[in-house]
Amino acid sequence: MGLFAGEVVLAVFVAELRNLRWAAVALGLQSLFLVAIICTFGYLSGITYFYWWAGVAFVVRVLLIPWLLWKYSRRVSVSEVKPWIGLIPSVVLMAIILPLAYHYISTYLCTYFLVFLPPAYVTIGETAALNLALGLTIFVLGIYVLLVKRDIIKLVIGLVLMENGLQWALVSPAPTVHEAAEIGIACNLVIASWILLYLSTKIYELYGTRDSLFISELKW
Amino acid sequence: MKVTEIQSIFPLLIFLIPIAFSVPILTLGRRYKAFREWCAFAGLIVTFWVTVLIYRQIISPGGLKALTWHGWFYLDGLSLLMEFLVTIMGTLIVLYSVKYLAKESPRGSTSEGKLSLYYGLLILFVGLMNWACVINSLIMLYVSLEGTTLTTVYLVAYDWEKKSIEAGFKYLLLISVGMIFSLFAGILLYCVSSSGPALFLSKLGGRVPEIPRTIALVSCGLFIAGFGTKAGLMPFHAWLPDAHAEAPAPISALLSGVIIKMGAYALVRTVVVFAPQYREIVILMAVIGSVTMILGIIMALTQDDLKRLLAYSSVSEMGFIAAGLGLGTYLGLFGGFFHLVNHTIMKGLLFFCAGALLYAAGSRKISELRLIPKKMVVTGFCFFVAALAIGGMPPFNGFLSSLTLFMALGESDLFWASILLVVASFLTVAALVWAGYRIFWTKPVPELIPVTANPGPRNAKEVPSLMWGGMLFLAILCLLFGVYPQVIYPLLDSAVNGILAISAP
Repeated sequence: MGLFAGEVVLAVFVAELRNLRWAAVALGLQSLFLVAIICTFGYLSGITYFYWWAGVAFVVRVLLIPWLLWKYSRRVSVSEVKPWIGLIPSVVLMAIILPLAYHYISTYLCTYFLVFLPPAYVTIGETAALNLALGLTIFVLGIYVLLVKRDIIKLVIGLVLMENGLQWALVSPAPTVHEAAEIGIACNLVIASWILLYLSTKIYELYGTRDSLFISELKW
Repeated sequence: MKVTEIQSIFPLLIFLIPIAFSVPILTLGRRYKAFREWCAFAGLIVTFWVTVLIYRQIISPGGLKALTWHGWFYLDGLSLLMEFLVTIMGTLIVLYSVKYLAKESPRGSTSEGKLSLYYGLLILFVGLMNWACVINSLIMLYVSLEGTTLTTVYLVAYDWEKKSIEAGFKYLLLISVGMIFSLFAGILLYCVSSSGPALFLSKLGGRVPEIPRTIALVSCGLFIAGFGTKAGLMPFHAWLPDAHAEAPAPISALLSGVIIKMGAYALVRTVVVFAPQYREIVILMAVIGSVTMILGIIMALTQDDLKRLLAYSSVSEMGFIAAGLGLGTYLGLFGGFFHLVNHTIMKGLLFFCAGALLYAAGSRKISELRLIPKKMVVTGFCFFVAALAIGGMPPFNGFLSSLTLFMALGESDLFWASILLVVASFLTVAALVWAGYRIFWTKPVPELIPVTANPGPRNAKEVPSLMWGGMLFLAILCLLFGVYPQVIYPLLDSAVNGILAISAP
């Protein structure tokens, strides 16, 4: 439960830290908690697949993506562009949205999965449903970041948060998913993040800002 | 109807060949100038030859057939249809690009490195598209489609200017965010299916009865948001006009002709298979399709930028296709696939024409293009053929597919949608013929022609044969599929029956 709580709290830090480098560090830590969760499930279920997955997640999510964020945020100003909503209202809003999202997801989606879980999960059935609910809550947090942030680098962080949430949700059905899918998802994410960050520095050079509000040459 | 599955290596070859050809282009293309174009062309010809061999195996007497490779790859009539589209359009785009890119673009400079990356990524993209068409895993479908997006970002931002970089950024961010919803849906379905055998796309329809209603509907909604973004359906279309307008014309033809069709393909594989059991999905797809077809064409009517007009028209046409496919009936799927093929031809042709105008006159604004001397006869002819075809006018191909969609919507008691389809068709023909009239038929006013532009409207003349040859070929196809559609019916029939066979009972 400590790992679960740490994962969610760090996700909130990733969303709200105004210094992009610190946000990158928080994202790396949040991903490290995700790797720890995957390893814990590998240990509990005795399925080696989880360790492979944790290894890929460690390289991509803990090392590569935070490093890319660190590197590219160094080329531009490290302070985040002022978002639509200030820090205090944003934290208050998240304190309302996230428990609500968790409640609805666990009530209306996760209850179905308890009866469909594979035999390996019989002993930890409720935990698996909790994984799914919390993972999808982080997914909702990622959507929130995309909606309220104006800094284009923060938008990339929002995309990574959504992905991290889905990785957590994927813990329950993971043994039925082919290893190639995990590697494919991870490769896609790291390449997409790299291209987006590279383009965002080019945009900063051309527009002189990372504020998505002012990057709007293309209208109608 | 039962599908006979045949173990074959072809599902692997169809994507490995183009990927293999992309490697020498990406590594050696910078050094050997002619090598990159002809290597890309050769790769596509070999891929086309393999596609023809597959056609002979699948479209043959003896019932419905599909090629598989240990269950992980599955190639049926629909996959074959998509592979034909990808390979033929890819070949035409490579040929068109040779002259289009060789001439220094008025909106940016070209270099050897850029060109080798262009051709290398283009053929790599064809390989990834073919991979997406044969992949049989739900999550790998997401991975392969996202892969096609990643390979095309550079092609969209090729001009490397302020607007094209912005378009490339929006293209990747919006599609990645949209597509992630389809991954979410895939995970939900994996969760409810994890106690059974592996969840293959070809078996998804058969598993529909065991999926709880709420999960099925939520998953389909998420798939529509995810793959609908790729398909450019409203309200997930925001990336489409920018990317289409700012990409080089051959890439716009690729985006409109092939990439957005992959969204429709994925919707068929994931959402349409649920339709026989869920009327809600049919209604939702019809509503989204109708809103898309009407709003898309209304927005097209307000454009002065020709490529942007064509982009919004593509949004509208995807609404036609989504409304038809969403019905999940034989007629709906038949009309949807037929219109999908026709739209690839018609819109590919229109973007080639827009590229020809940009190449010859250095502008894509309709108000500026109307000033050019009337020397581009082939381009003008092809533009009007495509404009009439896309507006559903006989004797062109768009007429038959629109009519089939109209009948299919009526047959499913969705008369309101069929009326909206007719309205959208008339608006489409009005928008495009009006644009064509202003560009090709209004009298040029020499004193208004800007003299500074290079090459400039004053010097506009017909484009090289390598460019108009492809345009003429597509114009002939518009007419051929309009007067003798039987030539494509076996393939469409196989695609439709293949989907009906794997759909929910």
